[in-house]
Parts: sequence; structure tokens; C-alpha cells
Amino acid sequence: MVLVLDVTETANKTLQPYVGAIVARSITQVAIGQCGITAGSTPSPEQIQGFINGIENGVRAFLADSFQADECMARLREHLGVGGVTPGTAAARQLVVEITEEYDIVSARGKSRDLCAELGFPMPEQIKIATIVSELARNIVQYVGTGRIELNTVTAPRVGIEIIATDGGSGIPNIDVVLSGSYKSKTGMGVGLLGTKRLMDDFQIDSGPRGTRIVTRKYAL
Amino acid sequence: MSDKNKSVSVSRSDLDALVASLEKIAGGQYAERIKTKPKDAEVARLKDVMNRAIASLEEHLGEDREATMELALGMAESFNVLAAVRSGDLSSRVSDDVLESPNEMLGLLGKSLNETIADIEKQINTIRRQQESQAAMEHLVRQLQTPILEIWDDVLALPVIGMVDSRRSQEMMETLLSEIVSNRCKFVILDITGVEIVDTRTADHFVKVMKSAELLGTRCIMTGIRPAVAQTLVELGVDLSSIRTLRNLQEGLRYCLRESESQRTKMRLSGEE
Amino acid sequence: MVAERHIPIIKLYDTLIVSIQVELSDRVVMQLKDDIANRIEAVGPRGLIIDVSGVDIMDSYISRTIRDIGQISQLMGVKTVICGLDPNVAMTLVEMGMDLEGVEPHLHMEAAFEAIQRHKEEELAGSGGEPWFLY
Repeated sequence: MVLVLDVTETANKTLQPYVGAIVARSITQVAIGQCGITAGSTPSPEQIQGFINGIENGVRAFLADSFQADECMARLREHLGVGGVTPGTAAARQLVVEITEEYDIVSARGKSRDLCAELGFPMPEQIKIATIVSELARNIVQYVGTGRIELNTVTAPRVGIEIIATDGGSGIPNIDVVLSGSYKSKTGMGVGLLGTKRLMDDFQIDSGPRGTRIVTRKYAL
Repeated sequence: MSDKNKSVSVSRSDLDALVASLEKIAGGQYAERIKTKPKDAEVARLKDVMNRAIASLEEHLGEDREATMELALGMAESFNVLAAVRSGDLSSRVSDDVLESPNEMLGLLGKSLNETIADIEKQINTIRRQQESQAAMEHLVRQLQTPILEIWDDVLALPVIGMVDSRRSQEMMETLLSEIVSNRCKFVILDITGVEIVDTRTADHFVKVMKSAELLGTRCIMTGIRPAVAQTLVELGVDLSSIRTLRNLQEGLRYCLRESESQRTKMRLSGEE
Repeated sequence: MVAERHIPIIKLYDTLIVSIQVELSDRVVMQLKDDIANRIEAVGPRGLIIDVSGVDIMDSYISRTIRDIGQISQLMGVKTVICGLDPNVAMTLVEMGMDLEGVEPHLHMEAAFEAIQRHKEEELAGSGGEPWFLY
């Protein structure tokens, strides 16, 4: 149970070492006013989130050093018992699916499609993202065995979705050839990877003897 | 001998206590008071006066400090409001506490800030409304720009006019495919008579539109390639070898009708088997 | 250990129809290719229709599977067509630069069936028929 007083006190104490007592109090006061938390009541999770957003505005206005600001906000979230959420116009939702067997491909696909639907993506985009997730998940299952697929929303440079596929395999041989499109074979993981690169707006791959990490993004039109 | 010149005896301990307290006060501890109880009445009087002086000092300093605090808080709040406005919250306003501050300048600053923000809010709302009606108009224009016409049984024509960007090409694809499915069309004629300029990306968009229709089982034909466009396509090395192209919509339709007839004939013949 | 479901292969006159409604895992695919080859041998059809109206996501593995099935049938003298591809899947395939690798697409089952009938006629008439799709 978190009461208003606790929330205010916590914020003041957390902010003080970064911006000083006076500014801390002021920021907190404004944030309380903005998020609608009333005295003597237990704030709802939405209100707490609103409070944190309000505090964040003040902290970033007064702290020129963004690392300090990040640190301060992280501390505040920790003290308020809230998970890490990146602010911005679109909340960064995270979906993580561990890939260990064939069934996980289906699961990852379905979940990513649901996430995109929830985020209001039009149907064609939902299908595209789910297909890419399927490609990347299948590559993991077929060539490595275990790995993970992560889905994040991004807001910079534009609103969009990011897929991160990681595994601890031994790396993809001849990546450059595969991705250049000159490799004519229609079999193997190359097709899916190349297709992913063509469909997505950003595509980065790091692959070596210790594993592979693919970060790829598609932005809204 | 007047009383005024009478000497006063101050004990060493009293003097030390006095000095010690005064040192503390000099160091900023304004709550400190001289606590000794001097035997000499004169010294006691001195002590009282000194304590009162210190109390008065403390009070005034306190007032000043409070006033400074209040000013600082008020300024900080104003900055906060500005920060909130910058990050998009135009409903942010300076609170009444600041507006009614005994510090006039602060009150004026707060009032001025609120009025300015209210003004900006109004202007932004006006602009937003304009943008919305603009977006609606653009949408309408886009729809008109790429009509999909069923010009014969099973034949869809898609006359393209003007520039084609990613967004338009995406919309074209979606609309075309959904029309194909709902009308069960067998042929699509993509007429680009109205396209004067073509670059690699535009050519790419056209190819994609046609390929996606073909994946659904529709036969695609491109018509109306202007001389300049033809030259550009060749120069760009765009591979249109797999796409059937005809001169104009008429010839395109003729071709589709012929093919359609030929298919029916084959069906009839195979039925008679 | 669950026994792999067999994807049903339906015979309609001189045509075989396979409707993909379940997840295509490695084992299911192997079983399917086996079943198709055996059924073709047993029945001797003119054509094979792969109905993908139940497939909402088609990645490169699935499209490869379709290609493989097409090649198997072709080798055994059977024309293979595909029908029921979802528009969103079609757009995704095109964006990824993938295609159906030699299997002729049709809008719906009737069109697919008609195509196979026409193929029969073309074969008999000796003409190969004008290839019209881009692959």
C-alpha cells in the first residue's frame, strides 16, 4: 500500500541528491498536482505512472546530464516499486519468448501478432511482423536449438516495432554473401534472413562463434 | 560618582559562556541563546538584551529565509510548468499558491506564464483541427487518385495518376488485393498512362503491386507506358521482362477477353472429354 | 509421444486436394510429402491442389515446403496449383522477395480446379499453354 505521503516523501528523498531540496520539492508538488493523487488516498497504478512521468519531466528539465537523470529516474522507480518503462509517446512494451522447441515458433508468432494488434497496427503490418518473428524463431530452432525473441516498441526516430533475436550458437557462416542477395540458393536460412532484411526498415546482425544477435525494426508509414 | 561609571564585575565563567554562545551564533546557529545566570544584575541585563537581539535576528533571518525559499519554490514551479508544456502537456498551469504569493514579481510571472500557455493551447488546438480536416481531404484525394474499376467481368483496371510513394503503393496493394478477392477477378490491368516520371523505387512499387496480385492467382498486365518512362525503365535496368505489357487500356482489355474466352473453350473441351 | 496427424488428402474426380490447416512442423511436413507421393502413385491424378486458405502466416520454410511438394508432383507427372492465399500473406511474401517457386496460384478452389481441367485439355491438344505467371 502506497499512500500519497509516502509517494511524495519518496520522490523528495530520491530527487534531493540530484537537484537539491527546493527543486525536488517543487517538482514533486507539480507532479502530484498533475497526476491527480489526492491526500489520504491510495494512488492507483495509473496515477503512480502519471506521477512518475510528471517527475521525469521536471528531472529532465533541471538535470542537463541525461545519465544523471536516467539514474535518478531508475532509483525513483525502484523505490516506488515500479517496473522499468521507457517514457515517450508510445509505451515501450516488452514481449520476451524463450525459444527451445518447435512449438515456441507458433507461440512467438501468436504473441507478437497479439501485441501488434494491441498496439493498433493495421492488419498487413501484424502479419508482416509475425512472419519475421516466425523466420527468426525458426532459424533459432533449426540451427541452434535455444535462443530468445524479444519485441519492443520504439519511438525514435519514428514510432515502430523492434524485434531482437539472440542465440548462443556458433554463428552464421558467410553472412555477407547471404545478405548481399547474390547467393542464389533458395534453401537454408539465407532466404529468411534476406527476406527479413528486405521487409524491415532497419536490420543489424552480429554473428560470431559465441552467438548471433539480430536487431531489426519496422517503422510506421 | 554616578552610577554610570560604576564598574561591573563579570566572572570568568560568565565571560567564557558569553563568548562561547556568541561564537555559535556567529557560526550561524541562530537558535542559540546565552544560558548563564550571572550574579551581577548588570551582566544579567546584558545577557537578556543580547538574547533578545539574537532572537530578533533569528526571527528576521527566518523571515528572509522563508521569503527566499518561497521565491525559489515559486520559480522552480514555474520552470516545472514550462518543462511540462515543452513535453506536450498544454494543460499545465502555475498554481494559485504562486499567483497569490506576497512576492509581487512572482505573482506577475505566474500570471503571465498562465496566460501565455493558454494562448498557445488555443492556437495549437486550432492548428490541430486544421490538420485533421487536411488529413481527411488528403485521404479523399488519395482514394480518388487510385480508383479501381471493374471494366468487365473478371477484369479490374487500375489507372495510376501522378507520383507513387511507399504509402500510396501500400494502399494500392491493399485495396487492389481486397477487390480481387471480393470480386473474384481474373485479370488486372495496371495502366500507367498518367505516370510521367518513374524512378527505381516507383518501378519497384509497380512490380510489387503486380507480383502480389499474381500471387493471388490474377493475371497482371501493364499498359500505357509513356516513351519517357520506357526509356527511364531501360536506363535504370529495371527487369520487367516477366511482365506482360500492352499499349493501352483497350488493348489490355482485348487481351484479357481473348484469354478469358480461350480458357472457357478449354474448359468446354475438357468437359466434353 | 503424440502420433503425428496426417494431413488429409482428398480425391475429387481426377484431382487431389490437400488443405493445410495445421502447423507445419518438420515431422508433419515429412509425413505429408510421403503421403502425397504415395497417393499420387496410387491414384494417378491429373492435378494436385494445395489449399492454403487456412494458413495465416507463411514464412520461408512453408513456402519451401510448397515448392518441394510441387517438385515432387511434377516429377511424377502431376500439375500442382495453390489456392486461397491470403492477401496479407501475399503482400508479405512480395515484400520479402519470396515467391511460390513454380507452383501456379489461383484465387479460389474453383479456379484451381478449372486450371487443372484446362491443363488436361492443353496436354491433349499438344500445346503447353501460354505461361502467364511471373515465376
